[in-house]
Amino acid sequence: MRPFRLAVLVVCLGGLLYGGWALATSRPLLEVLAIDEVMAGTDWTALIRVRDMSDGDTVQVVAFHGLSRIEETIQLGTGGIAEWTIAPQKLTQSGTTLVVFQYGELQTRFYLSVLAEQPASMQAFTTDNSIRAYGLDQTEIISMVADRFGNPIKHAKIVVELMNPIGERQIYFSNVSNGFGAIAVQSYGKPGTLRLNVMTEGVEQRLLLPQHPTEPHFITLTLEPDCILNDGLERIELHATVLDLLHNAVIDGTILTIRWANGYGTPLTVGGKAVLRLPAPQAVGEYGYLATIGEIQTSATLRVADQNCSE
Amino acid sequence: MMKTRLKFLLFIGILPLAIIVSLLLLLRFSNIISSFQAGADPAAIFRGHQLILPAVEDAVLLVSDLKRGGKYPTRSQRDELIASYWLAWEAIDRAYQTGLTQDLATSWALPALDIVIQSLAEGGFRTEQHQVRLIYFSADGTFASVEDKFIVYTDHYRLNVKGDAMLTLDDGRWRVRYLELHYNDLVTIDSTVAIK
Repeated sequence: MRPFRLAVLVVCLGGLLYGGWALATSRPLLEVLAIDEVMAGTDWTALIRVRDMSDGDTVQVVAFHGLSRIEETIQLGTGGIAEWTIAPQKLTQSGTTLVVFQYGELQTRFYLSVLAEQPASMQAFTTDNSIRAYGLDQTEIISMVADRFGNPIKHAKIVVELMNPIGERQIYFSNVSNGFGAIAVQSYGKPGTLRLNVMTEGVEQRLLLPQHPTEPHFITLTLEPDCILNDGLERIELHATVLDLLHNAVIDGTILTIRWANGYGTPLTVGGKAVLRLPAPQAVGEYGYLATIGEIQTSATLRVADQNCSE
Repeated sequence: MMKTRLKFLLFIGILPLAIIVSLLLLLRFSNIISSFQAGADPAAIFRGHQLILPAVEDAVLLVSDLKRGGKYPTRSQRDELIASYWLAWEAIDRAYQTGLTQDLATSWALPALDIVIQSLAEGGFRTEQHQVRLIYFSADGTFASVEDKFIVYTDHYRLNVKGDAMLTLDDGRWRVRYLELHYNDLVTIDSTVAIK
């Protein structure tokens, strides 16, 4: 036999032997082809291929999707190929969905990112029911932003438009991260109501935040009249005005104490003013009245005359 | 004379029993009070659920990990939050077992409540070993964001899951309002040991 023919024979025999060995020892291979990121609510298709499968074999598929589980048995077609589709509106929970494909002992895992849609709803609130005015206090606005399926939005811009009681505006910017944004907002202007408009990508919510005066800083006390006859027919009125740091009326209902020689009264303020009506003393002389609130105080004197106050 | 003595003996005999029964009732009552104070499910008293709080190995709250600011919760706020969060997962497990969803609203709020109810029909699972980290706690103590790493058991699998949850304090009770889950590891297990 010629050397060339011998070589060809050896190569052919070797090829046959290798082919037979490879066939005998080959294992099926489970492959999955699919995109790994979809928007919530959309469909998703995976192409499954099992090499060296037996006819009529099936692949078990289970998808762990949020709190849901989707299970199905897929029949492989010609060439061990099958297509598996999750219908629209089934993958609605954002996060990472794990899809497990099982063919006999073979298992392939596929991690699918399901992204939240654009913002569709927002729940915003302030962490204070009211704050001090004049920029002395701040509150936080917490905004929870979700898509139409209730998935928290991962990232979004938040704009807070703030308008004070006289219409002056300020703008704050913040970001939503992992579904919520926290933004500190300072009080602005005089006491009244702050109008807050929290906005993000087509969704907005209006909030109202009262901003109140500071604690009392100024107090005045006047007597009406400041002189009275001693016949006991008249009454006197004590008018107190209580103002805050920037001379605005303190919160309604602020209690002040007015003391005199043998008694005291505790009127409440309305619009920064309080009135106490008292019977007048009947003995001629001068009577002191002391109004106090916290650590501030003021006084006024009443004169009781015998016949004529102008004397 | 005999009658009086008999009455006295009966009284002496019954007295220890009455004391023991009273003490047991008192202990039971104090347990109920302390459970509610610590955040147990109010529905439990009507439905006979177990009043249990998470053990340390089931739920850990690491308050030092406030990633996004806010304020540190007080001890009681922390206990209420963690108990409510843990009971929220217990409520899902219970709903799977009983098919009753009425109690879910105690621990879950919309929109997460809808998602939980919809998911109930698609197979049960049990969660364990919640490792909860507080990401944010609002200054007024009505909003919290937590990150949770826990294990989900189904009939064939054990999965490691990371969850991001937002809770709000509604009517004095913490409820999970938003939830996002990320499955990141899986172990196939024998189905006979999967669900206890």
